[in-house]
Amino acid sequence: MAKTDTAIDPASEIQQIIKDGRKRPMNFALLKTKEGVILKAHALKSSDVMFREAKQAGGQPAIAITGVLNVTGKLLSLTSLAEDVPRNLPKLAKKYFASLGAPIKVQVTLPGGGCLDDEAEDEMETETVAPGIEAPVEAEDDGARAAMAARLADVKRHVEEAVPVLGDNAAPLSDALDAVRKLVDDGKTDEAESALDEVEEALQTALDAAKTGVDDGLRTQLQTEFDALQSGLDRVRSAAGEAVVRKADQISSMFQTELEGNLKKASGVLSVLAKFISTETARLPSAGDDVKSTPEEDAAGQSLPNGASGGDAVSSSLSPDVAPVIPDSSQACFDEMSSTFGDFWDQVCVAAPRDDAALEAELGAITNQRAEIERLFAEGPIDVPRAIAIGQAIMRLGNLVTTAKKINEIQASNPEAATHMREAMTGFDAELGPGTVVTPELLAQIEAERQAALTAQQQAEVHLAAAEAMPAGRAREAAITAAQEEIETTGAALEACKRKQTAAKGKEGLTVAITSGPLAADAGHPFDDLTAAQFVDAFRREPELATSAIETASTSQHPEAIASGMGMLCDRMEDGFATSDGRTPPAGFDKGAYARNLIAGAGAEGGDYMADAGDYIASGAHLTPDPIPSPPGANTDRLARDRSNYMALSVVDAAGQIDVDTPNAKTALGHLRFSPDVIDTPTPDMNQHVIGMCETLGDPNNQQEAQGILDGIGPPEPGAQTLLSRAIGKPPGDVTEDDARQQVMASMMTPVHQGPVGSCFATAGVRRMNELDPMESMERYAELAETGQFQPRNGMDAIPAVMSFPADQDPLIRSMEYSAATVMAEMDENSRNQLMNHAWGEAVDNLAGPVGDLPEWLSRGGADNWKVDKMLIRQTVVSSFRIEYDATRSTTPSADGSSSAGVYMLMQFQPVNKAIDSEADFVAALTERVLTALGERPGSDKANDISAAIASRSYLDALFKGGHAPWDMGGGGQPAEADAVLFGQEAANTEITDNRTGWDTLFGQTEGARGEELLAGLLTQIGEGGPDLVPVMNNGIHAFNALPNDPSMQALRDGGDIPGKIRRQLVEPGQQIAATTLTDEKAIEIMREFFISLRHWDSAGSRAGLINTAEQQGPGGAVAPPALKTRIISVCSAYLDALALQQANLWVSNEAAAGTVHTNAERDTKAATLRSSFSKALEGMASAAAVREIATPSVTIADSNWGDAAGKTLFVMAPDPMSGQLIMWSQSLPSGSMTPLGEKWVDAGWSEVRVK
Amino acid sequence: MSPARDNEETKSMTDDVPQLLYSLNDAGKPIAIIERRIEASQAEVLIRYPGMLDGHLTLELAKMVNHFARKFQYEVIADPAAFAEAYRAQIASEEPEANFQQGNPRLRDFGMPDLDSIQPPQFDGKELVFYAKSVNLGVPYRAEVEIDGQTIGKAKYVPMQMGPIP
Repeated sequence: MAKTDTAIDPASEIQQIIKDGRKRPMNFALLKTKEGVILKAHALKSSDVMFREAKQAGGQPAIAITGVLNVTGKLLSLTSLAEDVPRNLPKLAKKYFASLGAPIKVQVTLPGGGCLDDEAEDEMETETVAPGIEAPVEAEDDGARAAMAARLADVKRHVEEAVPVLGDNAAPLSDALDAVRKLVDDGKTDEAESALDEVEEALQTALDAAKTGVDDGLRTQLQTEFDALQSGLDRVRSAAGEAVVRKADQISSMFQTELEGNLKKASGVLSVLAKFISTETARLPSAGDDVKSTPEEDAAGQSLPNGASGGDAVSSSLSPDVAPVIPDSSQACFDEMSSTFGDFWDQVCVAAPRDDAALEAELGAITNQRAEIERLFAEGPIDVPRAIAIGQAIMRLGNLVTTAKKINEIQASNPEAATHMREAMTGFDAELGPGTVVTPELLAQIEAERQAALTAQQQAEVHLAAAEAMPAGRAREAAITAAQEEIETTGAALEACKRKQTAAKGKEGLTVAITSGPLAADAGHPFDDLTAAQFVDAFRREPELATSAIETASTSQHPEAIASGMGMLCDRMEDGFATSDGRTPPAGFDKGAYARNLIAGAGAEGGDYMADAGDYIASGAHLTPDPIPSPPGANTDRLARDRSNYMALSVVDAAGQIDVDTPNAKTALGHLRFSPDVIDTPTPDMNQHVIGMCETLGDPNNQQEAQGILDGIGPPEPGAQTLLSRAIGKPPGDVTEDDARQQVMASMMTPVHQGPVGSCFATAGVRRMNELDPMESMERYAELAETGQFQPRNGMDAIPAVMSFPADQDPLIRSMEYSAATVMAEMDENSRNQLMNHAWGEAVDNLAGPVGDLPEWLSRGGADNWKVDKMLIRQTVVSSFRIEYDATRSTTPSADGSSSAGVYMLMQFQPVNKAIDSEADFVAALTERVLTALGERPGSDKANDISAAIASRSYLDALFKGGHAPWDMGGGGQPAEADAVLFGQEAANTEITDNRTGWDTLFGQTEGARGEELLAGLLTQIGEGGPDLVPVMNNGIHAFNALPNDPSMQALRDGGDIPGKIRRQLVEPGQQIAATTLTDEKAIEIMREFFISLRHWDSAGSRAGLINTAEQQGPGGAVAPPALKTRIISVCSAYLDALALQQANLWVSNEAAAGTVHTNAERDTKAATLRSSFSKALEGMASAAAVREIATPSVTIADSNWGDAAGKTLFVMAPDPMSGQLIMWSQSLPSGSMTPLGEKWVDAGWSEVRVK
Repeated sequence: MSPARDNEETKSMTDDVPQLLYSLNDAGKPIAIIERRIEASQAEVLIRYPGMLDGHLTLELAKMVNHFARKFQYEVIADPAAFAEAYRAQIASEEPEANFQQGNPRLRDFGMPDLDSIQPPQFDGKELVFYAKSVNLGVPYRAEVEIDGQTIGKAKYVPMQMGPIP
């Protein structure tokens, strides 16, 4: 390569530049100074650097151009960065090069596309000539001859050196050189140049031919040596862990590749392979034992030297006794870099803008590392220690460039954060050394150093104590002085170790974050610039906390709230969470855990959470031990109960007045949000509710109304005492009206969520009331707390308050929910009751034939017997049957969306207790009841007619209503009834979308198309300006509340053209995502997330081996999301087979236990069905993993009712990255994780429950 | 209803316990069926059986009032002791720790009423007081209805207060 050392003579330098320029483009600077023409060029250094070097060599230039240099044949092309190049410059340069014995044509290409060449200038003598560059023509001719003579001598030397290899084949070349000599002597330099080119080409051809013979021998030898390793290789393959085997295969494959190309590298790889086999076979158990290696050993097998691409934070370490495979030269090394990094390599080989110190430092480090590699190569022959040193230097360069590349990718979207990243990385390297790859070994080493420094410091303290214990005198003073100096020295050493450790952890964490983590350019949930920058800064101070913070923030709805507090948290980590007056928590306080809990709190609550937390800590409130105690291991319900009671007591003063603004109330709210003992088991959804309720009660009008309700609560009735006693913690008889009031306030502080059993329709109503009209909720709570009875608002009789739920659940909220559900089940309007009323009506009326057409048989006194008989039949059947809910029976889809089972059943109570779950049962039961009602003896002609009529198809078909029959009543909710019972409003279902179940098959309507239709329906039918929560249901699945005023919904609705917006903002981006090839990192990360979910699913770990095997197969190349999903299902094939078979066998066993024996064929059919179902579940997992890793637009459509004090679940519409289709998801908050709900959720008919 | 048959039956039934069944007509309205043959309204029943208002047929009166007030929603508790025994037996048979389940109410969902306070139907002044079991819930209600001569007032049903289950 080109040397830039000024000690090198100009002729050699120019010739070297021309030689290097034939291989690759180079950055150059061409100057005309008093000293003459100066050309500096370098493949890696920027042209600015070249300019400085040229200026240093030649002084202030009269003319200067910079750019990119190429040499093709006999033409040196200079692509200038500037347009104003003197037109005679190519000619002057050509003359200068010729004067140095390097005759070559020169051409300058201008940025605007213009071109200047030396010949053209010869024809334009009148053009301005650059001052000071006037080479005489004679001198040019002499120079050309001299240069040709020098080149001739050079080639002749090469031919002579080749004689031992070429033998007689060298003679023609010598003859040809003699002819060239003659041409030179004759001044025919151009002809001589052409002839010399031919000689050089012939020489190279001859040498290549000769080398092939030598290489063949070496290749054969290497292959023989490789073959000798086969037995060991086979042993590794048969007995080692899969990762080790994979690594062995990789090295073997690498050897075979190099064997066909670079034999020197092949030799090096063979050495590595031999060493690897030796090491791994030593680890293996004795022959015949097929025990595989441990995961840790597998992981160890993955750490081999990895040269140019070594920029990964978890890459290899170098063993001192194994030489790494390194390039032949620094230039070869840089060529590899160029090959690895492509265009970006060229970008880092230019000077940084002077006004960007961070970028300048980044590129400067790369430049310096390149120089270091050059220096190492130039030191002399490469032995093992130097090869290791060079390998390490290459890895450092790889690290620097990889890091720079990742940051550069982030630059466009987050420029400020990118600058902070560069500064952070430069800072880390300042402690660790440039381009340090942080490995576990390095971290362990630094930790050992820190421990040693700590021990030394402790020892110094001991020395000081010993010195101070000495008798007074000079010796004591000297000893004290020495010990103090020792403490100072060791303290400084310890601080240095800590800085180094912080830097190492910071670099490790930040590298992962910008490579495949939440700060990467293609992060699934990208942060805004300021947020990202604040997180980056935290890596420089508290790297482990920063890592935790970005993980939490990556799925949080409020990442900015977390980021804004990172500075405060780092400060508090440093001062031990000290108060403003310096008080700190007691020994043993876990700072890190507290900080992480605050981060989680900020992520859940958002807003000014961190600022408020800072104030709370400064005040010292966090030093209050366990301000809201709960028993150890308390579940979420218990925590909510304890905390709601605490808040209830805090917002009501001693005189019974509600006041949320007292210091006591504010401190209590602070404890709820920030106390270390409280947020260790956080209840973020409850906290949000409490904050909102305090705001509501802070309004004077609301406060007055609430106070009135509270004051109006009288002594609780016995039923109320019973209802409240468990929550209050008193015997029922001891529960007072004050207790009832406290419980009402506690319930006001508790969010409403659906209980553990299906009651979605009631919960949705109670939740809606709680959110939209909290004072109305308070009224109902007060009513329950005083009377112990639930009074429906639709005029039905009150019922005793339901109180069968776990003691930790809020007694008033849960009782209201369950009591309302109970009343709804009784309502005539209830869809099941309607079904049965219809069925009984038809059942009776349609017996007119066998009963009413033969009035003489009845002969009880007149023509109106049929009329009376109908009443008798009605009386009998109504008294004999009842509808009940059987939670143990499955229904598809589930009855309430969250339960996996539950259907309504027709139960017979007279004359026997029996569930009617089939048509045959129904026919038999009804026949018997009708005959009984009529007093007809079975077996009579009339009885036979009646039996035949009831069993007829037409009779039974008439009993169906709404797709259900008495023996098949299905599940589902009744939100319209909820409105009646809870609000006293008559409501009806208004269709949003009709039922499309099965349309895929019939009409090819996709889930995505249905999703678009549904979302458009929700947006158009449930308009803006209405309440925030609107009751909806997707028939037969779930009842809940739509969120028409969610900002994401409003964004689609504003300005009209809803279908167009849905397509542009959701559908088309989804299609684009699905069509875009994933980066390797992204594909791997999605698979990793998928397998985490799968292992969670396979919680027993019974198929862990199959899962491991599947995961190790990886993404299988660069793929777009749909292909990745296919790949995931494919690699899980064996897992699915095993799971389906195991479950089918279980089914066979259960069936056999119940008396039904199945054949193997039936079992296999069952297994196939199950496999299809499981495969669908895995596809959902894959989509969930993808949506976590790929930035995807979404719109929040509804609140699900599901959740508890710790979180809640929303329904959102978002493209499935794996298919590009717009589908429905559930989203858990505060985690933000999303799960596809399945096609049935959008296919089911959707209705809005609208007040009539 | 046939007036002819009605007249035939009136006199002979006045001193006996009425043979009444209760059902719904085609319009879904509550009706009584006399001796399995004759459809009758509440007023018609009282005409047929004037003795029901004398105070010695309070059970039959309560059943009629209950049906015409709430159709099949409640069953009049005729034998408080039997009801109490059945109630306790049902409570004992139910899983104590089971949760509420929508559409499938259990007695334990609501607690234990003061079963000893349940009385057979009786007059308290002008008010007929009776206890009735909710058919769907199984729990007892206390019902009151004012009867003034031939006029039967609007029945009021109040669930009994619940205590803890022993």
